[in-house]
Amino acid sequence: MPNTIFVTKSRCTGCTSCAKACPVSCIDMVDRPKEPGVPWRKLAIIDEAKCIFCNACVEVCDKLAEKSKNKNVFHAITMVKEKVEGKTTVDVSLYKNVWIYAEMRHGKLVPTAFELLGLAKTLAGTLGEKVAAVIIGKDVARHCDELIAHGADIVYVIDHPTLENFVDELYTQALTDLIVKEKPNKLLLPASTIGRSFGSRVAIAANTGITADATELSIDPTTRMLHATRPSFGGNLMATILCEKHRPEMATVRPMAFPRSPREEGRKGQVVSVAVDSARWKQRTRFVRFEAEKGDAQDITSAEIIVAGGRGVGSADGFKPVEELAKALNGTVASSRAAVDAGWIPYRTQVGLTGRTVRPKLYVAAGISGQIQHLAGMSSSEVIVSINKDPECPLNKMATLSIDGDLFEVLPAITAEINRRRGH
Amino acid sequence: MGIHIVVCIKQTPATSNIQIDPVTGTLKREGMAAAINPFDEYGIEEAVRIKERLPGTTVSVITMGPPQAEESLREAIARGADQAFHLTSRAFAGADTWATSYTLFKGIQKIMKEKGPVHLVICGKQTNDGDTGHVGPGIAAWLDWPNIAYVKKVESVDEKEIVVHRMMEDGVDVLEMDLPAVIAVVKEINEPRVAGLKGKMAAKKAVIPKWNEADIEADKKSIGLGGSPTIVSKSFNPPPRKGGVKIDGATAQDKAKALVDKLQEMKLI
Repeated sequence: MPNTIFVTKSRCTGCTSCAKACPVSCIDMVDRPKEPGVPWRKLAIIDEAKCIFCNACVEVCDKLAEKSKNKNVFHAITMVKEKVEGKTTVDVSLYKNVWIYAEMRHGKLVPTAFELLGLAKTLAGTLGEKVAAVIIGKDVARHCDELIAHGADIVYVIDHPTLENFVDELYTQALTDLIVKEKPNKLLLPASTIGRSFGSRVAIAANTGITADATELSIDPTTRMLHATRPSFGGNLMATILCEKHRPEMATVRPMAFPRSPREEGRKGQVVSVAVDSARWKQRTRFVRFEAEKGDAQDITSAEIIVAGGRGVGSADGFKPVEELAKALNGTVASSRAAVDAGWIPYRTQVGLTGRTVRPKLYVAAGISGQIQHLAGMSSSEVIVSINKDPECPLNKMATLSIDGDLFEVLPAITAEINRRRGH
Repeated sequence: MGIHIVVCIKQTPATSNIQIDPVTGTLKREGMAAAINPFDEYGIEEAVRIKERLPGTTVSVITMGPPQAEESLREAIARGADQAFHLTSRAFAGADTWATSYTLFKGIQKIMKEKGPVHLVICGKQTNDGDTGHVGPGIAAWLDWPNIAYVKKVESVDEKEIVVHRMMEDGVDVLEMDLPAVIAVVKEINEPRVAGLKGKMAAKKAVIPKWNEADIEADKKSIGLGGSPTIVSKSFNPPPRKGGVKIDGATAQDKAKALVDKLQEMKLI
């Protein structure tokens, strides 16, 4: 029997609570056919084809039933979940330790490795297990001390000349072989280009589940399961994901969502050199070359301070005051979709639903009104400053600090003030 | 010659229609219109551009979704795809990225059985409702084909090989990959065209096969909610951001001073 979910018409008041709770928007509120003695005007209809049977609507409606004095309404949604028989499950007790994938780029560790180590220490603490880091590349063993000093108890080194540059298929094979052999309990990767693109491939190859772009992670001390919470619908809805029957439970973790684990001098750890059988690997992708971003532009997803310009900037030249303020703040320049589509600034700087998601300590928005698609990419920034001519625009209303005014007057004034205080 | 490309698309809530309820601060769901996931539009366009470069190329589109998702397949044909296939069944519902990529993989296998070999699968980098970016690489894993995600340019492609530019945080990686293979594309790759009259006519006339789990010979334990390793245990609205402080001042200089004071207090400068 497939999963079933339905609304008991006579108990539905059309209150819309269930529709608001639904993470996949499969509940529609329709006009209720008029019936004598029924005062309600709307009725909830559930689209079973879209439903993910998460129980959110049932819980909301049942909670209303508990509170209500009228015992004839609410408790209106019935869900029956299918029993999947014979699905093979793993023996979870065989799987130990919290692993992180320490990303490398051009011979250097990416700082997300230290963020993941800090998070893994917390999770492993709850479990009473160890933290292990995996590094993949060519001549990467020299980074082991650094990873151990920042919290790794074990470092697995997968070192091979063909792994010098990131190639999905090769990295997947290398990491999957190690997972199958060592059986980690949890595996965290950064939600970067590299982590996101081969993490999902590893999950399929290792036959397990993965949560994308988690921003909150914890271990349930009773079930020892990983609770990975992630934003969806551009951050308007948070969903907590579990992977009950497969191991390792995998997640990619949003960069900048967790503080870097501090360095502890003299910390001891174990280094495991992983023997690789590269003859078994399929090498169907060849790395040709890397073209560095021109100029000294920093990656916006790892920036701590961002100054972003939008439609209000008006032209490519209009980004000059934005760039100057970014320089004064030691920050990075970003943009909204309007500025990118107008051709004033490259796409890689775009923040928002069709661009990148950022989470800096300080986000200064200049001439950005704050359409929901933009907010989706930056609303979790710690401090938001908005400068806009329109005091009623969404960004000025939601910003930590807002200034009503012309960015071409205000930005240079801020830059001058910062430089003056620094004694320039 | 030419190649056979399969573009995987999804019908999702139209982003331009996403609105926040001003009173509750929650997502307004009622009456949300559906459209092709914006990233998939770039996938369709890139396939059509390859077809224009490589005569004899066929572009197929596939989706997994409820009956109404057929609209998105017709839209893809209107924009230049040659044929479309619809994986639709109650049993597919509630799939996570693992089960979704499995189902699409079985669908692609069925296309290969009926229409001959497939050389290239193109996906959008992610969907605007799920935001995972996992399905493209997942399909490649099931097919046991190589894959590259975050592709911003197809430099060249023929029957044997594709050369692409991958958008990285710090620049661009250029890679060559043997076909058959899977790529996932980002927005920068092209500007999707609007459908012309000829395309719209073709879309109207197209006969779109509907395949269920039996048609694609899917393992029932690997599809839909029951076949998904991950489950949504709860979902909630994030706490709304507190409204902030408005910085006043007679001149831009006064405002700037007040702002810098605040930023210094917060130790951001």
